[in-house]
Amino acid sequence: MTTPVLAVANLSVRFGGLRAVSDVNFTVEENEIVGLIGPNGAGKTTIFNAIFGMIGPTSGHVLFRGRDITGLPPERIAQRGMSRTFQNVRLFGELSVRENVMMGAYGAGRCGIIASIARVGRHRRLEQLAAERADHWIARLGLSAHAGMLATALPLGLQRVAEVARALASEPRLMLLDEPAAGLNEIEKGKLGELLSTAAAESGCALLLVDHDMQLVMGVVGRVIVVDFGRKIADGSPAEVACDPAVIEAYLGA
Amino acid sequence: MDATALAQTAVSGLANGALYAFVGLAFGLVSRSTGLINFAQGDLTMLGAMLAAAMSDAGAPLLIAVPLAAVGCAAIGGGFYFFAIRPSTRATMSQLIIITVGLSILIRGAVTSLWGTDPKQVPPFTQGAPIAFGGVSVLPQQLWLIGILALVAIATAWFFRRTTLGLALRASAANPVGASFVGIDPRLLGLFAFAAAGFLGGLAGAVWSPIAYAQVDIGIGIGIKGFTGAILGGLYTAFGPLIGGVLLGLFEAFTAGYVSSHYEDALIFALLILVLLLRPRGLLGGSAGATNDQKPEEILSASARPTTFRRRDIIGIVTGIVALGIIGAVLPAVWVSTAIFTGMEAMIVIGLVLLTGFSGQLSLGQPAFMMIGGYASAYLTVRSGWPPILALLVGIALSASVALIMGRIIFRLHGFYLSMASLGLLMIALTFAREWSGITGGPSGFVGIESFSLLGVRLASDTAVYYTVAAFAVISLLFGMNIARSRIGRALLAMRSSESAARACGVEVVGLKMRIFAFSAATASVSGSLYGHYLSIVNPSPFGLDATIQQLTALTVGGFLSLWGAFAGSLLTVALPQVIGWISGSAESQLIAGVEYILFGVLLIGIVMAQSSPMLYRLRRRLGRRGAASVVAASERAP
Amino acid sequence: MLKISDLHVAYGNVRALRGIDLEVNAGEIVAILGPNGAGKSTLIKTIIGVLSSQRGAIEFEGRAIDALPTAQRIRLGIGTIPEGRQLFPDMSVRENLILGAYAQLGLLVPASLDESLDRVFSVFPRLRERARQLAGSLSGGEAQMVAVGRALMSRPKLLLGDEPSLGLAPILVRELLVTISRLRDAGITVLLADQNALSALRMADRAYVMNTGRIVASGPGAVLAGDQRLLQAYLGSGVDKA
Ligand SMILES: Nc1ncnc2c1ncn2[C@@H]1O[C@H](COP(=O)(O)OP(=O)(O)OP(=O)(O)O)[C@@H](O)[C@H]1O
Ligand SMILES: Nc1ncnc2c1ncn2[C@@H]1O[C@H](COP(=O)(O)OP(=O)(O)OP(=O)(O)O)[C@@H](O)[C@H]1O
Ligand SMILES: [Mg+2]
Ligand SMILES: [Mg+2]
Repeated sequence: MTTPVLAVANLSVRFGGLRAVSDVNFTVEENEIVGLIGPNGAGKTTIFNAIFGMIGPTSGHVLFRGRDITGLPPERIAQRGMSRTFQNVRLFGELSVRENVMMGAYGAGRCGIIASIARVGRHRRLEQLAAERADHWIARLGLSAHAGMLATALPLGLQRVAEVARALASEPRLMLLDEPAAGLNEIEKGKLGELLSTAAAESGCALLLVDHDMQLVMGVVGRVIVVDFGRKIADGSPAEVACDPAVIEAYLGA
Repeated sequence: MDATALAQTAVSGLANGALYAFVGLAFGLVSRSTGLINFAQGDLTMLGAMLAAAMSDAGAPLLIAVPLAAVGCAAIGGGFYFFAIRPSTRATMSQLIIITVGLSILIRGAVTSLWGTDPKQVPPFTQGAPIAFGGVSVLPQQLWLIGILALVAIATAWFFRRTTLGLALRASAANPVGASFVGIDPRLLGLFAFAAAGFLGGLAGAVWSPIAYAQVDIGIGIGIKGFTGAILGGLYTAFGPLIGGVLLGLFEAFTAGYVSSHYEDALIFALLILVLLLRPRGLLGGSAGATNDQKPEEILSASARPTTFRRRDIIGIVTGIVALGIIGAVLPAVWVSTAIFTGMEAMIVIGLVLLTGFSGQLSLGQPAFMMIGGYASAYLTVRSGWPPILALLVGIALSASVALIMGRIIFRLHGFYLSMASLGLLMIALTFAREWSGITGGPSGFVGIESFSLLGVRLASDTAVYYTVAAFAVISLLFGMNIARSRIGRALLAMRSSESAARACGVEVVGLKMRIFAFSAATASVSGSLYGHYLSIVNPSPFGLDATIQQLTALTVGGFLSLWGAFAGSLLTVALPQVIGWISGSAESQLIAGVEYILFGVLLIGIVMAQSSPMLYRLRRRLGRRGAASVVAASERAP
Repeated sequence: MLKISDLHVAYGNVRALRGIDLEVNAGEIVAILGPNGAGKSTLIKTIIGVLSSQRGAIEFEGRAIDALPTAQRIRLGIGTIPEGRQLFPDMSVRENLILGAYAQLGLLVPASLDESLDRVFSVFPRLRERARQLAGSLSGGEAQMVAVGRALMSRPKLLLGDEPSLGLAPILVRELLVTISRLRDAGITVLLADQNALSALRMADRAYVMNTGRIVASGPGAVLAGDQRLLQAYLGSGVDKA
């Protein structure tokens, strides 16, 4: 049996008296696409933040590719091969779309300030790599016409696509996507879904996907985890979960 | 120490604390409603005292003079917002803070021109002997100060919670776009906040001045302490500035009374740094929790910067080097020293472009690093006979280490803490330079430093110094250029928009800021070393806040993101005082000193406005220097 | 109730709206559909006065409002759910809601506002629990509820919604649609920009389809919903070639 890419063990997060996440356990296997769904305020974004080191969990552990990453800062986790998008888009407003996507490849290698000042081999190689990956993913996601634009001047929908491109440019082993399809129209959602699955397959990357669009989630993922009030209430194939009465009551509606 | 003396110290500490609390509340008012730090707040307080004193000297009764002084300050604060801040819609936070530095200089210039630099005093509100409470004597004016403060504190707290305007002020600071959707006009609010803060500051000055003397240069100190108190207590809370200010006053009185009055400033800033470490949001601020929505730290500027090297840059550098060579050969002798000082200034400004322009961190303490460099060079060459170049390198290492250590503490926090902490560093450095005479030579410093030499060749003539400085400046420029045009430059710009997203891309935010701060410390340190060798003397006097202001002016004039501008800005700020000096002959009058300040202030404000008002921006665009990313966020309604 | 004629808006030299004509009658739910970058958000911002137009006229209840500041438009009875929510992160949910009524308040926050607050809390009971929490720490969906609630606080006659269902769970989207129909029954007119074409169309009395700053089709919601070719064309042109 191979080690899962991600293993979340007994994860809890408290904000003051509020238990935003309690005792959540799950795993994501290599190359697997897993959905994480649940009502508003169930704790999905908080789980992402805790996995990615943006908030410290109250208790529990996060294992990434077999190693404990609990308590590591986000930049270290990113360098180890995880990337994410944000529920409220966070593009770099002073950079063009292409440079935004290049930033995605920043963690691909390290290069000290001295090497950057000297602009010697290492820096050049990293820049070349970033440019190649940026151009690849920009073309792949259909952003070529906008590559030179300031990222924040894009309409919301395209900003989301640009954020996905940035996350893909790090060629991660695991990508956390927080509502990537919000603000896209139906056709675009469909396209994004296809793209996510092929991109994941191409680059050998596992996905953990949060979205409220059931058509997208159920169409793309192989397994769904459902949370409600910070607890995991279901974990199974889309078909199983879709007819689980607890899930219907908490989330899907009749 | 007996109980009465203790209580007596407490009373005087409480009275000064009340002043700091007042000023801190005014800071809080502006910060909570506009997100800005009004650097001129202390000077408005000084102005309030001066106005009240001038009016009462002219025979006006206090009942008229004091309110009128406060209203005068309110008018200046409001007018300043209306004419300087409001039109600068494209300015970044750092630029806006620098505009307020301009106001600070302007006020000091005006006060110097009008009333000179002599101390003035407002008569006490009620005559009569100090009131004795069992051996502890309290001045009636101290009671006035504390009483009025209490009233004001209650009024502001009520204002922010219960009035529509108060809520709207906080809303528009938190999210100006959201505020516009509910019909809040942010400009009206800014006007109100600045006017109200002017009123508070002016009132505080007028009520406090009967206890002490007011003088043109007390503003900065009061401002710093008021702000420190506010940070201590929690700048963004209703009562934080109040509690922090009072605590600071007490702390100050007790250290002066029982530890040492020489180290008072150093201790205050040590306390501040400690509090920031333990409770970054201040004593009342609560612990910093993560929020889902992050406020961008800087107002975004709409044009994308080039982040890769272009042919133009290389041509520019070659032309620049050739031009510097030719200038050195043909420059008339009287101008050589101007050129030398320009070069030394430019090195510092290059560091600031990266630190303030690119990473959005405002440092007010660069002279501290000049001092480290200058003193290291002086000590090692004079006392230990080291070769100058080695001493210079030691200076760099020391400065960079101080910056790294300080950065490690400060950059874990968000916001404008560096500006305060670096100011604290400067105060501490100045204190040590003055007091630690065994090593630093005390107020008179080191004399007889020999000129710089390299490989045994002494570079003594002015022309030789010119070429030395030019060489170091060009090296700094090349370093700066390479950083700005590398992946690091791009990461810095990215960080300014969203730190969390930058970290998610693998950017080591804290480490990067620390390194950039160390770089800026290194260039300032080299500048300080060369300064000592050129003048053959170092002492504390040229490294005060005036030096900071000159550097910020140069940075602003040259442009925040322009490394070339560093030279232009430096030339202007170095040459301007000389030119003013020539025009006014050798007249040593206070009027001239005041006018020089006023010119500097107007220059600073005018230039930031020119860079950041939409009209001029559009004009520049029309003159056509745009690349592909030319989309303007012209979303505000035209005024 | 709302009448827009020949409206032009540009960002610098990007022309986002190029001659929009549109009408909303009292008591209707009108949907605006269009792909990314069509100009829906720009239109909504211009109606409420956050953006100003280069050319054209906007009339509300027979009165030209082009020159009025946002606050006055709100007082006349227009409320907005902005794109991206635009809440005040450092303020409590309650304070965020109160600010929705900002344009109508005097110097102090009156006690009568509690009634409006209660109305919002009865629509979104979750917000009552969270009244004291800072808006910046809400989940995405909770924040969206605050944005809707804030728009209702000014008791608007015309409600402009810019993708109000963004980020809401399926149950809540359905509830929101029900809420909006209830608002209509309570006499509020609704103008809704939405990506979610089918559900918006099913609910709307009439709809306009926008593309690259122009209106390309309009008609009763049910008719447009049945127009496969139009939907295909509209949904297909995802990327705008600026
Ligand atoms: N910093 C914080 N302080 C207090 N409460 C918080 C904080 N961050 C999140 N919460 C609360 O924790 C709960 C979980 O929030 P989270 O953002 O994880 O929800 P979510 O599942 O992503 O919901 P949505 O689908 O609406 O985005 C919410 O009730 C939210 O209000
Ligand atoms: N601040 C801005 N600066 C420059 N151009 C802008 C700006 N905001 C929007 N635009 C441009 O205006 C056009 C219309 O944008 P708008 O946001 O109105 O579209 P939208 O229909 O709301 O799209 P979405 O469905 O993605 O929200 C787009 O081409 C966009 O690129
Ligand atoms: Mg969420
Ligand atoms: Mg939109």
